[in-house]
Amino acid sequence: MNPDSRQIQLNWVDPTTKEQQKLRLKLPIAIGRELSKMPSTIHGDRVSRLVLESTQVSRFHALILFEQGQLVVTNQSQSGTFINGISVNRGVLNHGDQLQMGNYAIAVTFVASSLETDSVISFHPDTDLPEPEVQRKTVTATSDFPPAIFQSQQISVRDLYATNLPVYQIDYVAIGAGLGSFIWVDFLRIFGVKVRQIVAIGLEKQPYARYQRLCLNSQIPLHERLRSNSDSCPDNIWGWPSYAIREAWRDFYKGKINSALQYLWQVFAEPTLAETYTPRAGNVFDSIDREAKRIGWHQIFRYGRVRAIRKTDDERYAIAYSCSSSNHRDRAIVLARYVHLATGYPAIQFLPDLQKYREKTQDFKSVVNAYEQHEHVYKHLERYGGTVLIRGRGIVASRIVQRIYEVRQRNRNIFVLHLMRSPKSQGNKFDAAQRQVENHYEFQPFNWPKACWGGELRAILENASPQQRQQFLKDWGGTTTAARSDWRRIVQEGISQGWYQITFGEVERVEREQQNTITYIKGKDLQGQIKLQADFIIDATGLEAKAKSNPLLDDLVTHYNLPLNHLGRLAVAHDFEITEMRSGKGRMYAAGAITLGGPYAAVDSFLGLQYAALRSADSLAAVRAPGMHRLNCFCSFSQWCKWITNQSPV
Amino acid sequence: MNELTLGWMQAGRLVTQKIRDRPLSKYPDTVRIGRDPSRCDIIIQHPTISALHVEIFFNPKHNSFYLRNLRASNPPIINSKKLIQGEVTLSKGSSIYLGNIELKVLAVSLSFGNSSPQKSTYSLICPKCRRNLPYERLNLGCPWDGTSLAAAESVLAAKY
Repeated sequence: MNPDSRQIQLNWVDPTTKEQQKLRLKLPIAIGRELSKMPSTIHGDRVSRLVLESTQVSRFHALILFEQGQLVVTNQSQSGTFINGISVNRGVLNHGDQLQMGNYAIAVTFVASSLETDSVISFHPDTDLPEPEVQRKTVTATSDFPPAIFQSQQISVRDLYATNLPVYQIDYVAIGAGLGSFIWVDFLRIFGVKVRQIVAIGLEKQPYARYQRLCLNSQIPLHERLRSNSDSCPDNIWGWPSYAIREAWRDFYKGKINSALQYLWQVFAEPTLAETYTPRAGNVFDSIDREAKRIGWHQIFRYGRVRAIRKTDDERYAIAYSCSSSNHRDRAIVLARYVHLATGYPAIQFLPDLQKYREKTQDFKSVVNAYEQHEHVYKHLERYGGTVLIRGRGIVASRIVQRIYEVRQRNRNIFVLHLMRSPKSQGNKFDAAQRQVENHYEFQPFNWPKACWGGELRAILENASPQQRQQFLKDWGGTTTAARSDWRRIVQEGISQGWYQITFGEVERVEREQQNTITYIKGKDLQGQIKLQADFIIDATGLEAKAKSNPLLDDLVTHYNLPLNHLGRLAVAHDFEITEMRSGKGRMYAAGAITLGGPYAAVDSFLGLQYAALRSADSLAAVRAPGMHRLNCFCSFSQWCKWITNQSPV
Repeated sequence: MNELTLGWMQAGRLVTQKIRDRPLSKYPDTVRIGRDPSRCDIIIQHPTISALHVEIFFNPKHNSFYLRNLRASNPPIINSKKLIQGEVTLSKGSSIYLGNIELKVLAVSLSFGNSSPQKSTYSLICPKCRRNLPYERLNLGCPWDGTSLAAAESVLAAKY
């Protein structure tokens, strides 16, 4: 056995749930009922501690060590440890032996070499080299779900019923249950579909729950403004009355006539004469709550984690989902003809060197991602002062600088190092337009030029070839921030007062020394290495959306050989259908970040999600999907009247 | 988990269907039975059964399954008693006549009482790094690499 890969495999049937358990663990191994009673290290080696929750198992029951080429079990319990039925205090364990502790009977098998194991080694995303095995806790459950019939391309409905899992039937299923799903369901309801025909499966009841959490963590409190336009209303498919009009109306009634007039002037004169209007986060969430209530979202939403989707022999899709909680398991199948995938960003993007830092130091406090909860950073800074290193220069970085500026009003002893990969002296150009740059920040009101949503750039992109699209998206997109006057003032002030400093370079590694983090960077202009010392590092580089990062999409892509676009996301048609997934009359659509790189640029914005929903709703109406009626101007107007008077659409 | 198994004869063979306490049915928390596929979750085609006939649901307060009549003009007969309106409890062996079709409650399993004192808890596996994570991380994602747990598999919680 290779001394570096000393692993053994344990198999047993859980006495309570009767479920097969399969676990591969690194030696040494401690087994018992209580984690804290078992040693965490022995002779400097990290111990794999296995907790078996049964009163018949002692708090610390047995220890398995590798001694002189043998596996040795030492009993630590009054009730005894048995090898093949024989009680032992110290005994040698062989391949194929059965280890007994309380009501657990565990079969032991040796794993010859780590190459033959099915344990997962994750690969470094940049170098493609395997990452070091830092106490990797690999658990392989014998997976009885999704059921075995999900291995075929097409499932017969009769086989589904034979699995003994509950099978439900519904016309429309929205997977994700976030804002993308909500907006699609909103269109379906307005097009005439009834509440009982739709189910949205996801984790959280409020469609904006995840979005809101990411906003709050990235320093957009409810009173702050989102990077979204006045008429991008996820609660209102007509975009009228827009958020600016609603806010002006409210302020007007409160007697704040000046601010009311200011919003109206902004939407009239933006972006040339006035700063672009953006709605307050809290107002947007409140408006979504109202619309959710109006369309019956709370009856449509169901908690669940979708694990796999397959085509069926009756032109539908079988969706295997789990609505398990931490103390019970509950799984089922839902059959539907029309499926919408809006699973959002599959991951918060962690920079690889910061990920390594976490693995090495187990320090989750001084290095944080901007999208994680990191309030403790600002609390600490306010009390003790300190230096923060910010990485990334998008809108999230701007918001963090703003927050630190606010904290700095109460403690002057705070410094900011803003690390950027390279200087930016010129903004992107497209035809005659060029973006403005100031202090290496590139400005654009939204993440795309506004004509990408409904204007001429939308049409250009839709008609472009895949190669052209790649170029257009590069020209129009990129990392930009909003040209807010307060942010520009803060940066200018910081630079001139010396508490804010911009540095350039590629990070080599991040280490922990005493109480600080040290970032080693390869300087751009200077020879050799630069060391940056900081109390905190905030990674503001963004979110990740490759299809292979989401296990559900990855399974679909590999199982049905779906094409991906140049950004590694799902390839969709102009109406956002995944055409390769067509199952007779059945249709599958996608929306949101998982479709970027295709016919539409602004896929992950409110208005972009509405555009995608409209295109797929139109195509569903064209194939006469049940309940769907195309909106002509008369019924659109009557639906708008129902919206304004807050009545249910159907 | 609470579960009720219903069985009836259809075209000469026994059909069984499980009903759970929190079903993903067309109406939340209740399973409806009748002839009309657009309104019912369990569809039985027989001329004596109404389009929307009865519904079965779990009442967590009383910890039992109930049947409610939805069609006063075609009342079901439960254990030889007509149910014009309202609801009755179902238990193992209960007989339900919908029109001329008899359905039997083959089994009822309630988690209350027969569950072991030991709570077997589950945890989640990060799809990327395969680390074992507590359920509390469900909405937050993996703390090691930021991966969402929206499609994560669950395993018996083995803590290390």
